Amino acid sequence: MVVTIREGDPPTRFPAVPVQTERLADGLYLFTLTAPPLARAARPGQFVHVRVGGTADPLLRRPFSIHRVDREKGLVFLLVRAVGRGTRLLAGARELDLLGPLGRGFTLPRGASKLAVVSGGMGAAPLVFLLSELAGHEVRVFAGANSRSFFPALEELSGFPLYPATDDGSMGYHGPVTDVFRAALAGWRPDFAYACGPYGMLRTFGGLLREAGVAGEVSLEARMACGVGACQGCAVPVGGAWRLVCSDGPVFAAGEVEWD
Amino acid sequence: MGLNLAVDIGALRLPNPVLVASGTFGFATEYAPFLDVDRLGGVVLKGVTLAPRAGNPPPRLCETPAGLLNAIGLANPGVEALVRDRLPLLAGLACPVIVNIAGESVDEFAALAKRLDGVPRVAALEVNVSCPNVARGGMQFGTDPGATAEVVRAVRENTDRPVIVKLSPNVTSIAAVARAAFEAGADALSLINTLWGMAIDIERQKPVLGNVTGGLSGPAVKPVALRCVWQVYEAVGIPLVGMGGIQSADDALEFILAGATAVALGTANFVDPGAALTVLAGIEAYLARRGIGDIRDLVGRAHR
Repeated sequence: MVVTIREGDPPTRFPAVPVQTERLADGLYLFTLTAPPLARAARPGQFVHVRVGGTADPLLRRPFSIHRVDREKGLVFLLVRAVGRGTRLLAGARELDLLGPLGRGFTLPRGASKLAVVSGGMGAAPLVFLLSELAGHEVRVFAGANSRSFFPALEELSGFPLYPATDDGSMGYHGPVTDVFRAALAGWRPDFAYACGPYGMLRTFGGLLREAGVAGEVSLEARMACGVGACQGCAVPVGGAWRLVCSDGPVFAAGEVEWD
Repeated sequence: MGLNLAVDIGALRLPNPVLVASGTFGFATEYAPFLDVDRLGGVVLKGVTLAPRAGNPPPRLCETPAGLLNAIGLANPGVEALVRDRLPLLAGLACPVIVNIAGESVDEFAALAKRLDGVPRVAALEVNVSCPNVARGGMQFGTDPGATAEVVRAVRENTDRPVIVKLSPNVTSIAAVARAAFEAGADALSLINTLWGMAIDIERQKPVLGNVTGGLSGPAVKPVALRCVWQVYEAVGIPLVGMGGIQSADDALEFILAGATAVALGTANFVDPGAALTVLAGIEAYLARRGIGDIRDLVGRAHR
């Protein structure tokens, strides 16, 4: 099976009704939305651009990775950490105005069978969707979080070997998840690797892949306005040029990202 | 009992007065999945320069209370790519296409106008003398009446298309710059470009934007923009395209009553891609409710 974006699926705009808002941990929510067209069209790594209220402040939409879909039931899941005003409003919303699916998602090279998935905190959001399409591959999941309380967000990963790491040592390795990934690379060479998480973690991940000679992809984030490639606001340095997280990404080849 | 929504911006006839502003709508195709672009009064494309421009280092955006600071830095593929790759995609578009041009020098403005003269789909030129985010050109011209006039004359001499000059609010007297543009041959004026601003990250203790300063847009700037339109309407007798924080039909009507013949939505497109058409519908409803048969009867009415 090859995970690719079907270029023929145009993004749309529609209201989506949260049918369930589940509090997974302090400030961490799982949104279940009824949005059948989005559930059908979405590919792992793509995102939705969500209007958080009808007011002028906060003004802009907020981008969220698609965490998981249930195509049969027409459900879309979003993993939301209520940190800013926007995400706090979202956590209390009765109806959401969504644009999506947006952006270019993850790809899987033909013939790749051993896969590493490295997640840092909220970086789990798009990776859970990716993992749901990787059945039949030899996959290892390296997941880092601040503490054990985050791991309910990763429940869907139960089919794969999980190598956890926490900042507070409450579960798995006590330290950065990239340490665990580095150690694993000494005795196991994946054909392809994926990562999403904080910038520093991704930079370390990119370095590890380069040293190991392993190809892979990272999902990046940036301050975003339009979400559709019009405003040029979310530029990141990739492959010798400024590329847009919203329309060229958010997923980029790890080897092409020019890390700070 | 037809309702007339068509307006004239110099020799350019717009089917209705609601445009989308340069820099907020890309090259129009980006928004095609989200609204019926054909129904707009027109689209104003992202500013183009002679050579491709990479733009400023990130972060390029910062949201502020009811506003957005941007420092994109005129990232664009250049005028040749516009003509070769972008304009042909708009061949079937029902509404007029206005091309925003940005030169670093008077000669570059002249060359841009000349390159675009006679190119199909280019209905008018918007002359960008007001970008606050570039080291050369941009606001340097638009904050100086003499330099503005020089640019406008150079463009005027190199195009038969209507010339719209986009004004900066970052001046002591916007009326003086407007008069200079008018006397140099502008057919119309568009206003306002963004307000020059900045934000500082108190944890990093550094400016948020990679470019240090940026341009403020969004609802926060609307009263300033409206005042500018009001003053320029009194200063010159050419059509105005009003913009700055318009989100609703009520906002748009304020600009029209202040003297704008047409309006443009900018930041609102990011919030609601359908906003321009919602505004158009709201203007129609207002005209119907007030028994006004022609939008042109409303232009500048608050002055009378």
